[in-house]
Amino acid sequence: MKRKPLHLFLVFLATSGTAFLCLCHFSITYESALIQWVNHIVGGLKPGGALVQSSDQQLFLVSSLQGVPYQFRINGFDWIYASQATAIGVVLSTRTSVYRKAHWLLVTVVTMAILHVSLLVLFVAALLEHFLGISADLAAYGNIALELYRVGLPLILSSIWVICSRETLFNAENRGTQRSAASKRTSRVRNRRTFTIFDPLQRMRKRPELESLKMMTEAKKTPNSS
Amino acid sequence: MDLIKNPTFKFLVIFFFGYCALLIILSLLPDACQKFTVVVTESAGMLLSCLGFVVEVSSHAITNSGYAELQFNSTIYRVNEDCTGLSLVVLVAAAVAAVPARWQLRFFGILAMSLIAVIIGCLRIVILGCVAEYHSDIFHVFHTYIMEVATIGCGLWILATWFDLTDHWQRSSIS
Repeated sequence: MKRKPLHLFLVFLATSGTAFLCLCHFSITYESALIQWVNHIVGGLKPGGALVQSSDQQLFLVSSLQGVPYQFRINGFDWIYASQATAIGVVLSTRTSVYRKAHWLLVTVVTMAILHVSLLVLFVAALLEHFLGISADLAAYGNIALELYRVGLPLILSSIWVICSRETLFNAENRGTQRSAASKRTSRVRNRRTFTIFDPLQRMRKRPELESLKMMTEAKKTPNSS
Repeated sequence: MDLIKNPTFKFLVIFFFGYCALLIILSLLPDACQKFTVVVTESAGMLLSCLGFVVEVSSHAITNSGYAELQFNSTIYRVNEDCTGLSLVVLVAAAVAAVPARWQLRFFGILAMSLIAVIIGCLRIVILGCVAEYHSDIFHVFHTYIMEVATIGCGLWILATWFDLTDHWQRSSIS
């Protein structure tokens, strides 16, 4: 279970690389699933735009203002695949069981998909606000959300790694800091047991009811033996 | 009550507040960030010079434009705060400070591991500079994906190494 840091690093590189290749290969399927959610939310917020995907995996924002259709080509959003692949790599390189890895992988992938949808919604709002001057309220949160994503993602990923590997990371620590107290407690218990087992008469002297019980038992035994 | 004594919970709380505090301090000290960018860029330039490249570093424009420039034979590489790995240094410092250990050990760890993170930032610029010089066609993939992932992976490696080191030192000090 406890792997060397270099081994963890190599596992991280291998898994995140594989995840990135898979995301790029299946991006048309993955993005089309997310775009439906984005369009659903954008339609509910009424900023007046929709994302569409062309056959060559190019993302477009389609909108209309006063009956005139507009189309914007969206590039440079592939960095988000890198962060998603990083998240998958972080979870799969933890020092924990396969079951917990699978559980946290599911949690992480769902969280990253939700974040992806949120960023796309805010991105659409920012584009509409910039080019067409609509949905300014929502667009105001775009920069804040992007900054939070940039700053908060490493924090979240590191926390997930520590939470998943907590037994391996902190058990030894507990043993280290609490060993002296534990050894004192053990020695006390051992002394007490020694006292109980090897010196019963002394214990009886401290408990007079046991002494009287012993005397009564001996008194009962005496007639039978005679 | 048990939650407060839980070492994982303690780590996460210290890590979160330490990370936020460092980010706030850095946002209040833009000059320090710019100096850090200049130092890392000049160190990367020195490394590239040692490797035989003809490199010119111009850091005077950083106060106006927010980036330093590395000039190769055919490439001008603009280095800003994000390129220098300052976020990795902050992350590593907060994480190392949160690992349970004696305070002297934590202080030593913050210094040592932050220095390693700075070196990783320098190497990142060197690698990206070499890629930009020789294979500019794959520079985007390197800049957007490979070096980002490698930086996070290095952060994890540093954290795992520090956990193992503190565990080893505590075991040896007890025995």
